[in-house]
Amino acid sequence: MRQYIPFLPVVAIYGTLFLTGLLLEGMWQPMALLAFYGALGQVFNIFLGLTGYVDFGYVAFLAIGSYGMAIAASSLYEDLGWWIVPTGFVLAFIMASFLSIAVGAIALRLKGAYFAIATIGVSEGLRYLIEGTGLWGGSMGIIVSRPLREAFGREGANSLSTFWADSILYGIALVAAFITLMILKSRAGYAFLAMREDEEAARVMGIDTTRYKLLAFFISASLGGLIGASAWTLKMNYVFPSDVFDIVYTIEAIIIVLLGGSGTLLGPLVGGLVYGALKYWLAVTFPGLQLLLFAPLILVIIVAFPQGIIGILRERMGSAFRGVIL
Amino acid sequence: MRVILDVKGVSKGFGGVQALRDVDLEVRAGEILGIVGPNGSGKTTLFNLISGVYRPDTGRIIFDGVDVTSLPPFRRTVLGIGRTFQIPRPFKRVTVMENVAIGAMFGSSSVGVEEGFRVAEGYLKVFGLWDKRDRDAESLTPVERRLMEVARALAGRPKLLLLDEVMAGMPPGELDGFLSILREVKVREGIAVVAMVEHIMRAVKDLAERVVVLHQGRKLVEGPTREVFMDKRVLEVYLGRT
Amino acid sequence: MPPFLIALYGNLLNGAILGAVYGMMTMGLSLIFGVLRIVNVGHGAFIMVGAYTAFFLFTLYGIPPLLAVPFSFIIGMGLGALFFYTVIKRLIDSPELTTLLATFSFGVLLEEVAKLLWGPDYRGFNWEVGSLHLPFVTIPLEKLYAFLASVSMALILYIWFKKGRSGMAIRAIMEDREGASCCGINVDGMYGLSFSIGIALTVASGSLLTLFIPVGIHPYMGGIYTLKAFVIAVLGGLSSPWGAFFGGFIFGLVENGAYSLFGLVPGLEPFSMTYFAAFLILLILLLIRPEGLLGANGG
Repeated sequence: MRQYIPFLPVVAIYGTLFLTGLLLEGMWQPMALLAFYGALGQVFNIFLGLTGYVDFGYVAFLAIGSYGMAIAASSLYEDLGWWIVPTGFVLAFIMASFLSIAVGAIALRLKGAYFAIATIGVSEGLRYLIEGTGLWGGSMGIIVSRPLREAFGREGANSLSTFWADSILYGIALVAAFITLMILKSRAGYAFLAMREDEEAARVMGIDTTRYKLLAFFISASLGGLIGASAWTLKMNYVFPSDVFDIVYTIEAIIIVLLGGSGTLLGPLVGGLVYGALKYWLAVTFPGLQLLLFAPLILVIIVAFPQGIIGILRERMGSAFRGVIL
Repeated sequence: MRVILDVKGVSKGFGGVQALRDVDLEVRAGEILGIVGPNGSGKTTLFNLISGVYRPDTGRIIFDGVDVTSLPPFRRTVLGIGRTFQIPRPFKRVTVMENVAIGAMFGSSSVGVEEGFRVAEGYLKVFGLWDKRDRDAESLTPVERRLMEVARALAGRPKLLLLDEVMAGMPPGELDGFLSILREVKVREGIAVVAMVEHIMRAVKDLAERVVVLHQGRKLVEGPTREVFMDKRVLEVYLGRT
Repeated sequence: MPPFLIALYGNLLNGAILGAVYGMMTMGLSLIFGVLRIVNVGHGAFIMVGAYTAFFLFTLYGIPPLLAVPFSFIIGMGLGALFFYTVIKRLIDSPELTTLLATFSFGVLLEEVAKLLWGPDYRGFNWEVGSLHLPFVTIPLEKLYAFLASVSMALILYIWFKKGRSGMAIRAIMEDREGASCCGINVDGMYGLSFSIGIALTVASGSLLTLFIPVGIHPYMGGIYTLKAFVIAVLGGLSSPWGAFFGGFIFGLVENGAYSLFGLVPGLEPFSMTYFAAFLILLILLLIRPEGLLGANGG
């Protein structure tokens, strides 16, 4: 049981967010925003945090997941009724994992900056392929509000978009955190640790680095697909390529992971909370200027605290407590 | 005695430089073999071919009855080839304990996390690193790093241990201690050791039962340690008379 | 000649001319990657700064864009030095994570400052100095000047690299960092210099680019050029400024050629398909020839 203790703070934080949103008037959406950033950080961390490889086109997995849900909803609603939502999640998962295996099998042979550039190429290339060929509605995207209304009724579709889509995010975040904990506590966790430090030495130590990288890439990508399906398609009821392939989401995911502490369990959650709260506060207090203020702030954080909030906490604490915060 | 490693006629070139030409090498189970040669003689290349960092242009490498010529490094480690690096490559921001435990978890022993730490405990005590187990590896002295690398490689329970210049820079007092630890571990676990040495001839004389001398990418002499060091060709290479 | 071939021929000629500017636009990116191993994800924002520089010099003082190039170069040196000594210097040898995020953030900062100062509107200007009439096509002279200016800049950089003291030092660092610091090269200083020159080249190329985009100057114009520069840099081998320059030519030709070809296929949107083709080339190249199409490296 002891090894599950680090999971308690994660459950406590997401639980608090969820209950605050549920019980306090007008707090559901702000809390859901924090949960979105927590979930985004958590799933991205499984790849970036564990392997140290920067997927600069990570948003492609969220995008392809959102298309999975949109395709299921728009083409199957007459036959499946409300089953389109579970089907959509399955399709989102499958499409994101296929993409991750295809991209991973080839691009993961590249290292460092070459990998980052290749992944940005995949993401942008996919977007232009969709727009250029008119695939899945091309640049017009897919709008699913009518299919969802037909399948769930007006009330049902409404609560799907304003309540269930957000609630599912909490679930994805918890699942991602649990998987992270399991990995960190297992041999795989040590394999990733060794690989981040020195990939060649890790291979000589007997670690099949390719397999572990692909595993992390696959888990991170397929969970990312579920986030796209839920936070975009179900919540917004539309999918436009220029929105869902926006590089800004990749950057936000990177900021969250870096801010909280890369490769830790609690880091992405803390990073997501801090980032979400800061972004919300800046947008409310200095409307229109939030990016102007945010960019230098990020630069200061990178230079001054490259190990992130959780990294600093762990450094300050004695070795005896290292195991408690992961 | 059984042959654990059989290197058959390997060659390797880099661009225009032929680093190794048609080298044969046999290592028997449980023996200590010294590979000696001046800088640029092809020792490190040979090590990298055996451990799988490079693949040979020609020739085959048979380990414990398995043709490993084109296997990736991690597969060879799992089969039982452990190694250290000429310039130590500890996982720097990882504790000494975890470094050695990682060696145990993924070597040919392939154990779980808890067992890995238990195995690591034993080797850290043997190599006198137990007091520093919770430090990050980058805080170790150069000699301690070498010791930690040997412990890390041994923790994976190899059948063959490749030591790349592991004794370089070791003060004489520590060298004696290291050699006796190495002999003891070797006898206890019955592993073969291939130690590659450039300069410290005394260490080779004390340690190795058999010696191979490499020169300009070829095998110059091979034989029992005493005889090899009396060989005229070896003296020529080392004393610079040609 | 059939009209399609005439169109293709005209497009390719334009592609070659724009390609030279693309090449110059990417040399800075490659120089910075080659020396510091940092990918400048905020690359396009510096191009934007150069475009605004040319725009204001022309509309306020009537200075033609070609003469804006030295101004932009100096502004770029300043911006580069500022960015280097406040941020980049502390991140050399950091994981990609931090350098990618840092360069992206600096780019965002530039874009937001531009938006605050000059507003989000699209701007542009026309500087017309006549045309060159060739068989079947007419080339505006100002574009030809931009072509010549790019080629000259590349030549100057080449000569400085081959003959200049600091140029040779930078080449030494690109080859072997530790070796270079051993033979008395001030590595940190050279990092600062190459970063500043890399940024300066980028800003200067932004000024020339204004001659090709009549109404395309706005704070967020840089994004697409960052992506194009990635493809071009990979064509040229990522760490070779000369490779990048020739990569620019190839990209200009492919971009314009592909546009003409995709335009013939019904149902395809040629603009997006051209970008798709570019990224496909990027991926294929990274996988089969990461050292670049031309196999060039260093200098």
